[in-house]
Amino acid sequence: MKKNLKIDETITIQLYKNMLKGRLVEEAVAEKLKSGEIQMGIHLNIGQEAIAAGVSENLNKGDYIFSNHRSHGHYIAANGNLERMFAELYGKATGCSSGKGGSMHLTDKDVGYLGSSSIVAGNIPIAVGVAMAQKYKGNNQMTVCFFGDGAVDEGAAYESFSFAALKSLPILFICENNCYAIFSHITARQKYNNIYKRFKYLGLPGERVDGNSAINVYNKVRRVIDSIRQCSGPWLLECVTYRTLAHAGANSDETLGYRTKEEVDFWKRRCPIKKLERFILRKNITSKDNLKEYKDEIVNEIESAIKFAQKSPFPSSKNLLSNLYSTRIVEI
Amino acid sequence: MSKLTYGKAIREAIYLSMLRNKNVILLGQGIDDPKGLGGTVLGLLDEFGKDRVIDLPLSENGSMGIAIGLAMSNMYPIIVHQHMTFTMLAMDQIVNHAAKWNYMFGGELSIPLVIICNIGQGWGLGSQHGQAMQPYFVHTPGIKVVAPSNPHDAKGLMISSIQDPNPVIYIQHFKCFNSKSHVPKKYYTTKISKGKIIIEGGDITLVSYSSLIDEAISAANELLSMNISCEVIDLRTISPIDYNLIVRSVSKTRRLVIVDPSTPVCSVSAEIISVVQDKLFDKLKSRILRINYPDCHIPASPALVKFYYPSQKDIVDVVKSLLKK
Repeated sequence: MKKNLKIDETITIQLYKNMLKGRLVEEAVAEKLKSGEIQMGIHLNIGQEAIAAGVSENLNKGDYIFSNHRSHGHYIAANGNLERMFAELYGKATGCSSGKGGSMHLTDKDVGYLGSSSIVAGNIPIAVGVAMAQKYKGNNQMTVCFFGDGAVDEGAAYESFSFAALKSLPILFICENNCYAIFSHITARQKYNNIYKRFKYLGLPGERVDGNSAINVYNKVRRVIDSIRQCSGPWLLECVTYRTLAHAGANSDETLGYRTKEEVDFWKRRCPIKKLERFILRKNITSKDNLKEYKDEIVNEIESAIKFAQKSPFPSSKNLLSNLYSTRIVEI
Repeated sequence: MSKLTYGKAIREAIYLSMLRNKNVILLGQGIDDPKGLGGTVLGLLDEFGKDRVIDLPLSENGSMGIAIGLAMSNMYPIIVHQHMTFTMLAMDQIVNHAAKWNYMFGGELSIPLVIICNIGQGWGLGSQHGQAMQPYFVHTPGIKVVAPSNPHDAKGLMISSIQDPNPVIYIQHFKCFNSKSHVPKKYYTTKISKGKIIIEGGDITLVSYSSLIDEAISAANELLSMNISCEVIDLRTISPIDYNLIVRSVSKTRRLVIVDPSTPVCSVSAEIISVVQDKLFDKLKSRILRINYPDCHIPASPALVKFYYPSQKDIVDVVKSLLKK
């Protein structure tokens, strides 16, 4: 294990840009959802950007990523193709899943983002299988699987953790604990507040980290990632965070009564992006003008991705039945 | 050609495939069974080692997901469930993931996966070890279902299933394990989605598959002695069903009985009746009838089991009632 890592300035900037892109994309999605240009179920990642950023900046080409229903953040952090993402959200034929998957089923094989399942914990065993193939092929690559605190309630999670530990598979489990499964608070579902250490006796050690600190997430992952790659066993990182908008859709939901405005405001003040921005300026890592420049670049990229989506064609009726079965030739 | 049992024919198909491609791997609970799961995997652990013949914990859903992940990684996993009823624990991964993955991602990610399930019969296996659940899978778009009745087809269909880029449910029926037939030694395929005419005839078409083919053949032989000539079709694949073959045969015989080894509601027989009446309504000389298991669970007592499974006599009686002889 590497100790006393100092995070360098380039990485800090990289984490900032990564999160900022995640936020600005989601804000643009929210706007298009409200205007009715996007017409599908959307789970926004606003407030949780630090986790995907901190993890993704540790990954190499050949590593794989599995996500869940709240998939945009992981896709953007992995640098998935933005034009094809917006096209998918617009339901267009040029979408990354040809308009078949939608918001919850993005994919971009070029960046190792294999896919996401909207069945809670459904992605976990699949990610374990991919890690098993990586170990079988012995290529020093690994898989990351993102899921929420609701997913650890599922049997599929337990089965997957146990198997990954049994076979010492190269997989990193990232639990994004945002305290809620839709409206159900974690204390209504789990007796102990200890996800990170709960699976230790299966052979899955873990740690907890402030999920609103991209630097902390990055460092925690960096310390263990080499040993995961070398198949010394899987590892779990519980990242404590919070979603500031509703479970689905583009609105806030304090008025529903399942959580208080004070609670939401508390977490809004802990915004991972503003936090890192203050750090960057305090340490003089870069100037305000440069930060503004990063933002402008991202805004331009988003605008052109939206234009691409808007002018792309919808799939035709003949696409309805296509892709039900694969016709690729398998050579045995 | 040598005479092989059903179990040995399946073993040969898996063995040859594993020999040809090191990314073909076998997973299952009790895969190290000293009897080799009816002979189907006998000795493969010694032959290919623990990295390719993998014993699984009692985690059906997790294991199915793991097999899907392997399939997504240019591996060709074969996963075995000793009883089809156990696959119900893995239905989320089969129906929500394996079946949908290629479609949901616009054809970017195919799942070449073979899921072997056994259907039990006899020895008082009862409701939770013996149920024939193929309609659940036939109902699901995105997966294929094969159900060979004899060793020759069992080998060819296993090789085809391993070569298929989609999830294939491969149904092994306990009753078929008694069968023996000539099986070529070589690596050969039996095309998925193609049925076969077992007996040619002109008066009526009997469509069946898996465990009830033997009863259908015996019934056809008995009926022939009464001057009723049956054409017997073995479907071999029940998703997708070979409607061309059925329609061609019924266009000739103009009568159809389906002998379907499962409960009747939303079954293969129900589906065939729906399609055939649509395509041949004006040509039919009589109602289409079917023989299924009764619409109840499988009892354990041998006394009750006798009433559960259809026999040759049931088929003969139904055919005679249609031909009014």
